[in-house]
Order: sequence, then structure tokens, then C-alpha cells
Amino acid sequence: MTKKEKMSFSRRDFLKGTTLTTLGVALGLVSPEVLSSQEVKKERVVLVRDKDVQDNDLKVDKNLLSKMFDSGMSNLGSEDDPLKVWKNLFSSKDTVGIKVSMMMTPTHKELIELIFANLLKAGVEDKNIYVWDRDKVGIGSAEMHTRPKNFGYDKDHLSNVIKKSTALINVPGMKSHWLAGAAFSIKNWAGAVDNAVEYHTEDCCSSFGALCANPEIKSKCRLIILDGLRPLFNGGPQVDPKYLWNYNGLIIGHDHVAVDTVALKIIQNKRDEYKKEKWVLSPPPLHITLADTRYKAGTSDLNKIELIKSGWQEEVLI
Amino acid sequence: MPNLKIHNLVSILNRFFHRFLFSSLTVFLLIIFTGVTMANQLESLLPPKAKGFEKSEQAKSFDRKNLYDYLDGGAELYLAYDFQSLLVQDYEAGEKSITVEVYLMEISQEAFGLYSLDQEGENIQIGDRANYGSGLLKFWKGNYFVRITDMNGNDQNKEAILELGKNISQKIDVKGKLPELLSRLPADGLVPYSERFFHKQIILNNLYFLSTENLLNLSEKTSTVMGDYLLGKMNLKLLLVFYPDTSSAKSAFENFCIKYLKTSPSGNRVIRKVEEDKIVGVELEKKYLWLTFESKDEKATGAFLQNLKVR
Repeated sequence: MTKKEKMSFSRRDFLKGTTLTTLGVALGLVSPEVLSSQEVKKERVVLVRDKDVQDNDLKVDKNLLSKMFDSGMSNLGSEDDPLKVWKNLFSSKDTVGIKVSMMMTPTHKELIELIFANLLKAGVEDKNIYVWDRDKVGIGSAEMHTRPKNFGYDKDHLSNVIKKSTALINVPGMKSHWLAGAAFSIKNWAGAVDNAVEYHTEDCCSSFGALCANPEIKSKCRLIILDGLRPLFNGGPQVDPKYLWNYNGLIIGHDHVAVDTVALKIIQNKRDEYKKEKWVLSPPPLHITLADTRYKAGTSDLNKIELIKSGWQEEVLI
Repeated sequence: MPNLKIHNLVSILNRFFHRFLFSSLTVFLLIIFTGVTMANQLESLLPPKAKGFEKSEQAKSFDRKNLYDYLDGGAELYLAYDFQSLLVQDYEAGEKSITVEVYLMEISQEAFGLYSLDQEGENIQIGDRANYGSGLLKFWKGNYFVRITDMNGNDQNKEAILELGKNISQKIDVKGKLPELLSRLPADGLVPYSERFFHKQIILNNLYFLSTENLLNLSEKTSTVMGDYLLGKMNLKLLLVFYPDTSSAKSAFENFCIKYLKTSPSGNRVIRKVEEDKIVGVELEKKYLWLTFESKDEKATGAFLQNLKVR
């Protein structure tokens, strides 16, 4: 886990839009026309929303969330039956590590429970499902919320949960981040190493892409489910509640960079809507584009992303 | 003789280990004691209840070493302001919950710096300065920075939040001092509550992204104030950096001119048009570096910088 590089990128480079172009497009600074128009196989990302999935007191309707989630999984795998998609991804032979986020805006418990239930239906044994963040691990359904175990880290600083798992599911929150610009699926892996401080660098945390490009993570991560029920669009990880809103969405995909690029576009559009003028994320989340250009971990080019939207479309912001 | 030598050696080693262990134990106990004292000091500020809300679980305390356990990815912000200690206490009333965070900083200017980062909201008469909005009260008093949050993000528990804030503030019997550097920001045209105080590059990039490189050589040894200005029809951001000595200021000036403005400075002031027709101005004045961004008027920017210098 030492693939960290220094970079030089200034506000002027940013405004010129000649480097890290896909970031400029996601932030609305550069016209999408500059992106490649070549016909390529697109990376599918699914966005599903439901207006009533949480009420004003922020109570989540688990039945509606389950329907949303099923619809999203069906769209992701082009199957009418979402269980088929789960069975295509996971089997009884798997040990699955579900990497959640427990920092400040935690992954919703109801979502964790639904992922768990679907894995069981797909044939994964209860004892072979780990739910974890940092070094707090829960084994099986009885421990999914308490996470009382500690698995430790290997010599490369990687959580031993990853070593013990045959498959991973990444379930991050959706938030802006004061040091990295944004914290979605790529940055969620900072909670899977014991040297995260080395990635929280003053160059806008440009090296986070090295985490999702790590061979252990890249080869095992089969599904990304971004919890966008109540995202944060300014600050973070510490929360100022005036910057939270009920987006009521899930963003699902297989490609970290593509999922994060879609989430970034939504967060940026929300900021512009809030200020009624361009209010670019600061610092710019360079790590998302660099995960593509430097670490080859996925695509940050919106033209190479097949975005399938379903459910509630009002204020969808993308 | 050999036995005597071995005996002496054993004796020396014994003494060494005793001293070493004793001094290590002393340091260890001192650290524990200091930590406990700090936590007790912070806990004494918290009222048992307010407007039907009562303390729920045991308060959690954090110091410089374990702040990451509470704020992974956010700890660097507080550490950049010479953070010392934090106490987190939840209050509950039925299903409603409020979280109080009391941060103790080394000096009051640092506590103000943290507070200054986001002053948007309703101004409230609590502490040395306070604002409230959407379920979050933030205030600064002495070397304390306090956040009281209802994560629901509405005003349903505003009364309880303000009551908690007043109670805590009353128990802090010191008044804070503003950073001296703030007084050098010109008052004319300064957008109210836009002034910020900080030291490091990571804070600058959060407020106004300049570069992944530390072009201004900002560090814990430098102090910076920043303000938004509305001068007639002209908007601009003003930065004033104070360096420990004139050579550090000069070095930062040259570095910024060469790497950002792509020019070698011949005098102490450089004004350049950059992308989007925006004007960047920089002026070196002994240990100070003045910078303006976002202006669109080259002449007015020059006049503004000139006026700053003669103040």
C-alpha cells in the first residue's frame, strides 16, 4: 500500500480545464463536449430514489427501501428478478466483507440489514458475512450492528477482513469532505487500512485511488452501494445539518470511479442550487479523477457511464 | 574479580532499569493524570439537563492522540488549530437527541480560528461570538470552541440547544482574545462575518483552493487572515499572511510569483490577469504578504493594494 504520488495542480490549471478534464466536467466548469465521443462499452451505474423512503423525522421505511434496492439491483444486472443478480454476484462458497461507513454520517442500518438479507437469499452463510468499518467487525447477523471483533491489519496496512473475504461490498455514505473534496466509495477504503492518515494529505488527498486500485480490493469488490438517502453537500466528515438533505437515493454500480463521478455531479449540482450560483467544491476532489487517470481504477468520464435512473425524478440533480 | 565485575554490571543495570522504569512510569502517570484532569475540566462545564433533555451515555473524551477515533478524516482540521482536548456528551429527551462537543484549544485565538471557518447563520449572544442555524449552535469563548447539534437539522430543539449553550458559556470564566492580525484587515468593504483565521495550507485549500503545492509556505509558524470584500461593484478576496521573518515572507512571495503567476518579480508588487479574466495581486511588505483574488479590475486592485500598504 505504498503507491502514493505527489502531484502539482493549481487553481489556474483547474480553471483552464486542460488537465483533469473529467473533474472539470463533473463540477460543471468545463463543457461535456470536450469529453470523448467515441463509441465505447459504457460502465453501468444505477440511481434509484423514492420520495417517501424516509419521513420528516428521518425514520426509514424499510419496505420502501427494499423495493428501491430491488429495483436498483434489477437494473444493474438487467434481470427482472433481483435475486438473480445477487446469485450472479455471490454464492454459498463466498465469504463476504461488507465495508460500511460509521463516521459521522453512518451507513443506514436498514440498508445494511437488506444487504445482509439478500446475501443470505443468494446462499451465503450467515457466519460468512462480515460487516465492518476500521477494525470493528461483526460476524453474522447477530453482530452486524455491534461489530465487537477486531481482526487487525496485515503488514501492508490492509484490514485482515479483506484477506479473509472472497468478495467485498462497498457501502459508503455520500458526503462532501473538507480535506478531500468528497468522500464516496473510493475514500471509504480509508477505513480499511491502519495508515489512513498517510492518505489525508495536503494535496487534496490525491492518492486515495491507490486504495481501490489495490489488487486485493479491486479483485474482490463486486458491488458498490452508495447510501445517498441523506447526503452532506458541504463540510464533512463533521456535519453541519444545514448541509444535509433528503435525496432519498441509492447509487449502485461495479466501478468505484464511475459511481463516485455520478455522486460528485449530484453533490456539485446541489451546491449550485443552494447558493443559486456556482459553488465549486473546495478543495476539488482530485482523487476521483486520479483514480481513473493515475490508478486506472475505473472511469471518471461521464460520456463512458451508462446512468440508469429510476423512481422519484424530482430534483434528481443529474 | 570476574564475579565482582558481573555483580557491578548487574547492579548498574538494575539501577538503570529502576530509574528508567520509574521515570517512564512517572511520565505515563502524568499523561494519564493530565488527560483525566482535562476531561474533568471539560465535563464540569456540562449541565446535567436542559429543557427536558438529560445526559444519556457516559461522556467520551479525546486528546491529540486519539482524536482520529472520533473524527477520522476530520481530525487534521482541529490539530491544525493546536487542539488539546475534546469532550462529547449526548443528551436525550425520549427519541430526540442532541450532541454537545466541547473543544479545548491551547489559546483563544485558535478557538476563534476554528469558529471563524463558517460563520453563516443567526448571530446569537452566547460566548464571545456565536451563530445558530438548522439545529447547530457554534460558539467560541476563551480557548473553548463548542458545537451543539441536533442532527435532524430543524429548529424543533432550538430552545434546548440555546439553553445548553448558555449554561456552558456561563461556566467558562475567561474572555477570548482575537488574533492581532485581524486588526490589519481594512474595515471598509469587509463583508460581515467573512473574516477567517488560520495557519496551514489545508485550511486555505478548504476555504479557497489555490494549489496542491504549498505555494505560500504556510505552516504552524505562519498566521493568515482572509476576508471577502465588496468595494463598489468589485468583489475580491483578501489574504494577509504573517511570516516569522522577512526572508520567509520574501521567499514565499517569489515562490508564488514564479509558480502561480509565472513571472519573476522585479519589485514588491505584482498584479496579473489569470484565467476567466480575473486579477491576482500580491504585495510584499516586510514580514507580511498581501494577496488579492477574484477581482476583475486591474487598476482598482492596484489602488486597493497601495492603500493596504500605507495603513
